[in-house]
Amino acid sequence: MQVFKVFCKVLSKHKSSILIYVVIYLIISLVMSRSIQETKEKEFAKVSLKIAVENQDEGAVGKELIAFLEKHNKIKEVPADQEAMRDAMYYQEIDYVLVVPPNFTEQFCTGKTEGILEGTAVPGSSTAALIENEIRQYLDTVDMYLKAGIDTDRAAQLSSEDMEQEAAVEFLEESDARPLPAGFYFFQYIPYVFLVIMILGLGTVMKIFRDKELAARNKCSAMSFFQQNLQFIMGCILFTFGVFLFFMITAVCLYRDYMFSVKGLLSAANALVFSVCAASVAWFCVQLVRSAPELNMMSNVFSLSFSFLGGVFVTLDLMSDGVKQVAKFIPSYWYVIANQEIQKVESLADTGNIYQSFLVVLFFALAFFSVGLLINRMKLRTA
Amino acid sequence: MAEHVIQIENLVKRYKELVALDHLNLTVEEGEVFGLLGPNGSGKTTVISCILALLQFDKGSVRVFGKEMQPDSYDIKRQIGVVLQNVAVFEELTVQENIDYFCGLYIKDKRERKQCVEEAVHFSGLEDFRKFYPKKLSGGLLRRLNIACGIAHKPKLIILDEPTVAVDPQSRNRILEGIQKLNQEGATIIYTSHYMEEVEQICTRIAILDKGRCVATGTKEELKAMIKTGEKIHLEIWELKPEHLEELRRLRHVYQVDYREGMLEIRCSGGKHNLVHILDYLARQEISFGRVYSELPTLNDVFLEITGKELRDSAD
Amino acid sequence: MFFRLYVYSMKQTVRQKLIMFWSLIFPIILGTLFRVAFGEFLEEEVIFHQIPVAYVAEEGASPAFAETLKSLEDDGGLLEIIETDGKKAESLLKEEKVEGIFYNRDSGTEEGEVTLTVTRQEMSQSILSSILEQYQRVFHTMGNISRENPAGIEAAAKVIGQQRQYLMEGSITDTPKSVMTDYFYALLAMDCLMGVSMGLQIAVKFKANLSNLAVRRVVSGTSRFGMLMPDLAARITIQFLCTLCSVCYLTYVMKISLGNKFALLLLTTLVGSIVGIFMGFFIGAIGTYKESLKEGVCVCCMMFSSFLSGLMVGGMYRFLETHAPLVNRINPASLIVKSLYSLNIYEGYERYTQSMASLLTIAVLLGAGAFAMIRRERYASI
Repeated sequence: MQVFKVFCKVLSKHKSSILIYVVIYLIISLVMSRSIQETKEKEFAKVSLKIAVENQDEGAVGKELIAFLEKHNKIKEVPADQEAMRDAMYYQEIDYVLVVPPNFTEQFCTGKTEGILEGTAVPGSSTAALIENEIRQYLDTVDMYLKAGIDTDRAAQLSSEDMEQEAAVEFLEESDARPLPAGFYFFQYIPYVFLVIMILGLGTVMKIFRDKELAARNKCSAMSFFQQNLQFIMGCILFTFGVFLFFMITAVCLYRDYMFSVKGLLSAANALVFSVCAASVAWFCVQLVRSAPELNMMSNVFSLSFSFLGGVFVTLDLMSDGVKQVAKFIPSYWYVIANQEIQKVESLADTGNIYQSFLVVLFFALAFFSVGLLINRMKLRTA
Repeated sequence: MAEHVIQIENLVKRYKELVALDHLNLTVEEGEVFGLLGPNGSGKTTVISCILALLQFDKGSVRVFGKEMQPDSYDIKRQIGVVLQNVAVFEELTVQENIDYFCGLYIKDKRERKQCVEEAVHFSGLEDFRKFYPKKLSGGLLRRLNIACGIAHKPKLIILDEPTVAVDPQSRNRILEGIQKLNQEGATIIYTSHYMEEVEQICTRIAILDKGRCVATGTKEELKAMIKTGEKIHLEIWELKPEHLEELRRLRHVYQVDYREGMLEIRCSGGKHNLVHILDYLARQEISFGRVYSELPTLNDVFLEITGKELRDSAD
Repeated sequence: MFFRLYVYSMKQTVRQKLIMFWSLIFPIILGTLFRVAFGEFLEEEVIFHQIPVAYVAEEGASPAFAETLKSLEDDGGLLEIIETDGKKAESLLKEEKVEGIFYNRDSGTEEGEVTLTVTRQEMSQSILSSILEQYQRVFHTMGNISRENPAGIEAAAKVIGQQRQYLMEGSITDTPKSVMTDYFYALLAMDCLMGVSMGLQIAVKFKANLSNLAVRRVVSGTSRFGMLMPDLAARITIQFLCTLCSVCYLTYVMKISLGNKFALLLLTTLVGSIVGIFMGFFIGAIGTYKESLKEGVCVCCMMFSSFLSGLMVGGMYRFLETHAPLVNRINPASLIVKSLYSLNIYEGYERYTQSMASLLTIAVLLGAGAFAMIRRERYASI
């Protein structure tokens, strides 16, 4: 068991750097799942913004417009001057500034529609567009009533009512309606952390064992190659499984209900499959580097590019079709697909193409392992 | 009287509980090759760090070229060349660039510097490796580069702290010859090592340090005279009875007799005809013997006798 | 003298492949990944690709909604409508051939009872739901009009379909900005702070109790600050050139708009680089801990600072501004992002100079702290 023992010892020497990544990962995955859930809720609920309004108009339409906006938003005073306004927007005290010019009602009633209001959104705010749309629809509606010969007060009142109409959105399956469970986000970022940990942890040990002098010394020893390799592979398997187990236990602690469901089970299986693939990628990386700092470099390059391109950090929906085609050649893509599919699964019976994704990931594992082996052999021959 | 190149008085340095230097006194005169000998952890490197004003010390004074040494005594520093135990060169610079860089820390004039660098390259025999990066150099070449970086600016005082550790014999000889040449050109040299032969070969005066104190100083001859052993006689004898050993020990001047694996070692203090007496005794006892040789004590004997034979190893 | 050491220091740094990787190559890789991942966001027209949707109409259902859909398919090309029956529609939805199903049931009214059925809540689905919402609002309005004043219906109907722009864009900026710009600003901030490793190297090669090389340098005939200044200057130069490369790469290769005040943008990255270098130098000057440990601390500081400035999670700045505004005032990466942001988004230089002043203050504090620590020139132990 000598080889195996040394394997464990070397690993324990590097535990601190691995732990740092684990902690960073947990923080990021928690923050991400929080902030994404928040924004998701916002997208479908009525947004509430802080709107600064300056009403110079004396007519009724201006007044009604503001009354309409006030229903769902906070109305604030417009800061005294341009500079103060910028400050307020800079520090996010207001999200939107609406200026209603003096003769707004008059212009509106005479049929002038273009650019009769002045609105300023905080740069980069995506919610401002929603408010602008609301204003446009409201004014359109009011105009329709006015055109139909209904007086302003009544028009405003009816318009407000009309604006309360909401689309009836139903979900095909009941399960679709539920927001994605926090467990989903926990598993979403698993490829990143697995890749980092495997390349840094497993890679470091592999590197040491594949070190020229040390490998030579091992070869000279009395232990058979088979024994040596067996113990070495056992170490790798144990480490991979250990990392997997650690994250599953964490998941059970954090998301108990999720983990003890069919989805949880499948997610765990997905993670296990990917952990094998990550270990294989680590093996591949080791063949490309010469030193520990280079390994660190590789771990970042591989984990980040696999995560970005595979849709771990940014959802696949946002990617162009061309990029998606490329992404199919990356194992994390299939992991992410499987993770999404799992959320639709109700029972183990209808798991659909999840197993297919598993197989693809395993295929990638095999591919990385083989290419790594090939490079390794070629190096030995030339050395 | 010419002023001392280095004068150390009552130097005390403590690392927490450990006393590294205990009221150490040392002087180095101009033109000497001064050897600092001592087992691991005896304080050699500490002395050198104090001389260079790298370390804070608790008591005493260090004067170099007659002046108090301070961290900002740049005029003194400019006349010192330092080659420390560990190789200290820029990994990212080539051999030539490294030498030029360090030389430039001492010599501002461009032409003069160029000349110095050129000479240092020749001195250390690195002509063929100018464009090499340190990583590509073998151990011996790396040491030579380390030395070249320290002496390129032609210092008046050169401090070498174990410059030949892990160096093959060829490189070592070259280094030692070089040091002697520098000395002949007028440089004063302080040399630490625990290779006795090296020190014996090149040093004109030697100090032996032990536990932070200077236990002996003097020329080789003076040191050898200090110890009891005057002569060591080895005889090849195939069979020897214990009573013979006892009788041999009782001979005049003999103070130690060892018989191991057919080899008899007899140490004598003083006396001129010890070998004759011993051979005479053996003939009388009809003990046959093979090869016989006698040798005078080496620095190694001096060193071991003064510092004791127990193993020394501590964080040096 | 200065110049010679400066050149040597540059040579040294440039030949450290790893440092150059982190400062030069890594930001470029990350920038490319951002570009690829956010590709659709940056090319606005791509967002509105045709959304495939199934339409299932019961017998006797009002045709009004179908007409609305048809018009959307014809003139905007926004939708791709597949008219089919309920079963087929469901299977299409399950296979993700369509993004949603519009059911139009017979409710006896002219408006009809239209519902949208989806399986997810993503961008396309929210566009579909807003189409339906708008339809229902308009229909409601028309219904009201026909009850209150049926004569006016025709006049009112003319309003529908007119693309009116009531709002005049207020002017606080002339630079168009997308949400994604924040990510690239954060990327530049990270690039600036990559200087920590270089800064650490300066300290390691300067403090005699940290490396052999430092010992040799300290005992030489050149004053300590005479050696330190060229080192600092050289690393700052290299780091700045690295960020310059990133800026050029993002602007000219990735075609990302970083604003049009190029000179001031570069000034910001210069100051950012100085902060990065001094941060590493400061960390390096603390105590005699192992270099690897210090390297770890440096990387953590850099990454955490970048994280807080929104490199990994967008909108971090807003989040902190409401919950812990102080962080935004002292975190170097946030300050760099904010400088770039205020430079390109807001008119006037007041906020820009404020952020830059904060950055410079941080640099001065770090520098002063580091100098105070290395001023002690003799060491207790080596």
